[in-house]
Amino acid sequence: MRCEEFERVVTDLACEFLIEAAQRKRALAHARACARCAARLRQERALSAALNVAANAETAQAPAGMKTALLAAFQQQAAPAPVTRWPAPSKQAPRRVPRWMMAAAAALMLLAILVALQVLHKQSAVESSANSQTPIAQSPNSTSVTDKQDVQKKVQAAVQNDKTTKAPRAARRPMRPVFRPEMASRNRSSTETVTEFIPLTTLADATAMHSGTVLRVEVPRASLIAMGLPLNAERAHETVKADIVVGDDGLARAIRLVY
Amino acid sequence: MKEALATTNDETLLRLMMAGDSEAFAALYDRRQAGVYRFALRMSGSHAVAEDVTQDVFMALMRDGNQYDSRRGSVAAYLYGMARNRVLKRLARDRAFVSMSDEADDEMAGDPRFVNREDPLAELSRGETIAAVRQAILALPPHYREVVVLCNMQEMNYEQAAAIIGCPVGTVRSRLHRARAMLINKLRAMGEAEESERLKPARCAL
Repeated sequence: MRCEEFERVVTDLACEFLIEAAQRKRALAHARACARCAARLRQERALSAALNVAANAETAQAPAGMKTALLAAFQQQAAPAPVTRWPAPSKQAPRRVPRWMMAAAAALMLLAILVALQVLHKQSAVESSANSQTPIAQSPNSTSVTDKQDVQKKVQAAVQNDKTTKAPRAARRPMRPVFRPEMASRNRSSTETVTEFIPLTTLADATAMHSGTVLRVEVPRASLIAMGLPLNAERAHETVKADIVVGDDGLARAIRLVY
Repeated sequence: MKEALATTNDETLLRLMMAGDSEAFAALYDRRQAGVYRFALRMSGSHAVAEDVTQDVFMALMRDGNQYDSRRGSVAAYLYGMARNRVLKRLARDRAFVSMSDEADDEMAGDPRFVNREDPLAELSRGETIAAVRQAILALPPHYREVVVLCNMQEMNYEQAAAIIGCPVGTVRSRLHRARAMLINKLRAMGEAEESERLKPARCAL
């Protein structure tokens, strides 16, 4: 036997595990002839002895109370279930729904979705036709902002139109932002003071608009003075805040000053 | 009845237990609890963990005892296998134990100085030896620790250890060989440290 082979069986020898008698004999003979392997065997045997000492010194076991607790748990588990007046719940797995029933439910759901989609499609078609036919069929609040008389006229026309034609509800609620003077005043800070809207064009056709937006800007006083707005010329070098009504066509319709 | 159960084999006790016989459960518990407890203790180094694991193993046996398959090993191996899984989970969770790299241990195992010193614990007393062995075992990586505990502390053979661990016999064999080389190395280092501590000159109090 060579040293490599001896190294493979030295653990078995030291632990006194089962090993072939012939192999054991050869290994021990090698240890007698090889000083290094003999030392290696003594080393392994010393370790086995130390492990045995440590193993035999260990007498710990589970605390006595554990057995009592486990026995109580065992008896509780093994006890028959209490008899109830009503049928006890079945321990079997819940009954599976038949496949034909699941397929029918799926078909019903699909049908419901299709019907809902069709209804929605019809509604949107009605809304689009209403929008194209009655562009100003809006609430009185969404009228154009020109001068006071024009506003009043459009309000009256819109109210009358609303009463006679009964436009669809969606048509009275345009999707785009609509300028409403009271909204602008509602949104502004309570500390602000604003003037009335001053029209920026005198042409009636150019003033009319279906909807628009209010932009808050800061402009030089000098430019407003140049436009003829009543501002203090001594403070021409300063800027002033203003709300400008801009129509959908991009034209500014009116302006008011914010202090 | 109790005397009869004391000589009944584990499989019969388990079958009786699963049929609701509490005395069979008590007999099986009495027979196997110490081994399971010590295995968990040697693997973890903690009595608290050993208690938890032992209780958990027997609770699981009550619940899942009918899953035992005699073709896969003995009842004892089944119990140790459950204990092993629980201990390893605890070790992985706690990470409270030191592990050393296998490569470093292998390199040191071939060190000639290691061979020259035949008894690594020659300088230690019995109490010190026990403490040193426990400490060295706990310092092993878990997959080496478990083969030492099973084969050298719990007195199991390769086949039994392989059934518990769930690996081939050859793997257990090679792991045990390497684990013992690591242990000798660690114990030698401990013995040398102890010796050098003893030989350190005492400082004069005057």
